[in-house]
Amino acid sequence: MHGSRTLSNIARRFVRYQSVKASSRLPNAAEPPMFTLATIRAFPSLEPMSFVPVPTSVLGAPLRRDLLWRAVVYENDNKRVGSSNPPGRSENGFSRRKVLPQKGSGRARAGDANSPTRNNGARALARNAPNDYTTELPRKVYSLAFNNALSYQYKRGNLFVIGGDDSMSTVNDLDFTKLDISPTAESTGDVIFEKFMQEYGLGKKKLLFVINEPREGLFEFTEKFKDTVNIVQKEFVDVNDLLKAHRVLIELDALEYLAVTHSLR
Amino acid sequence: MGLRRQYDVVKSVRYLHSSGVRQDIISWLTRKKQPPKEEVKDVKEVMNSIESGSTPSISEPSGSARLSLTNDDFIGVDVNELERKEREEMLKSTPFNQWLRSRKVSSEQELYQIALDAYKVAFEASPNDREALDRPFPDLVSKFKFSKYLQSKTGYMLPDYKLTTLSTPLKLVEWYEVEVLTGKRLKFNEAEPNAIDLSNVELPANVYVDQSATVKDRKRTFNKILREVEALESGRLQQAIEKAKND
Repeated sequence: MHGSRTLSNIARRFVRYQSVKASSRLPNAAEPPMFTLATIRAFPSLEPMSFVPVPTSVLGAPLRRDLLWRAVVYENDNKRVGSSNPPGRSENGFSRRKVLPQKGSGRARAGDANSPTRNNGARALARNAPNDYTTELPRKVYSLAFNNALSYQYKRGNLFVIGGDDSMSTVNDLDFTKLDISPTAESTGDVIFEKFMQEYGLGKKKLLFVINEPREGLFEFTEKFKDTVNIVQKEFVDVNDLLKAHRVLIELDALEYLAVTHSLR
Repeated sequence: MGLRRQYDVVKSVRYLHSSGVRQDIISWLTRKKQPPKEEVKDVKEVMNSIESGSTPSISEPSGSARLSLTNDDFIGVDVNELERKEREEMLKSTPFNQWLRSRKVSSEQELYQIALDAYKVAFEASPNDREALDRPFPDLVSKFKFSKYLQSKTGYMLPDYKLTTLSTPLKLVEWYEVEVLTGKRLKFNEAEPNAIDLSNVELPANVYVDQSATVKDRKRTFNKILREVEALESGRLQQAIEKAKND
């Protein structure tokens, strides 16, 4: 009994010794970085104006496909309207007459023509609108997935932060520090937007514009590219939007809002 | 026995004149009044009026409307093509803040020269040796200035993630060597991000044959080139003929 206690004491000390030695064996061990850099750019030229440090939990999170999958399924479930009214066997139009005699036909037993097993039969477990398909997802899991989607686009170099009112560089006269377009003396707004698309080869790419507040110029002059350009205000962005886009252009204020909204603290 | 005797056939009469008879043919004849004939002026009179400078303005004949012709009225003119050309012209003339140089970097020497210039812009001093480029950036301001200059002069944007993780000027330059000068970036196809390139054709840096171009696009481009060559040749021929005529 006494011997076993001594042994366990020795083992405990050894473990403690090992843990002390472990730190000395990893001299280059360091805390993971807390922040990652995002370039603040002007629009539509995308000229760099400054840097902004963004928490790695927002833009530098490692890819978690499981979280993305859960968030996408959750969003798509909640988008369902549930307006279908499939007829049940009591509502289907056929008679209640038995289609075959029970015995003697040489064929399998059959009930009436409304049976759900038949080709033109009714729907088993029929339901009536409104059908609720909504599912639940813990808020923290959704927030993690949202940050993961942002990080995914950031790591692929597809995320552009627009801003720069207090920047290191001077803003060109043709540029804005927000996601907006206004016509100039030389050209109309839609031509300016088309020029932007041409300069960066974005003709067939899906673009997501995340705006801080309504931008009338952007809405008006992107009309020609409405199939590929998606303009969403910061409160209504979801994971689907972020993942489907080839390029994400987000205003700095909107990014700050989303970082705070989806912070886990 | 004829049909007429058997059945009551309805007899129809087709009149040649459907309007009522006009008794006074003269009023009809005088309805279209002749326009008053302008008096023919004497030649001397006209000459005097011209010499005195009081030439009466030529009035348009009454009843004639000027045609307002649009592009749609001309047969054989493709309106869509015209509009497309106008749009192209507008796009060309639209001012745009082009901070990225349109001429892309194509050689190592050029890249290192750009890096040295960027170092001067960022640190306001020229690097003494290659080791100076290998020292980490002391602050974010110098990193921003160096990276912005590098991007603008090479013509390629750096991803933010790489900007964060690469800590020295030399590492940024090396990124350009690997990603840009080897042609890796040009070959990258967003639709197939993990595609493996099996071609062993050696082309100079910055040159890449786009394999994904469709046959239709290739034909269209080829025809366009042929048309341009034809137009150039005919222009030269015209010039030669005119020159020969003048000589």
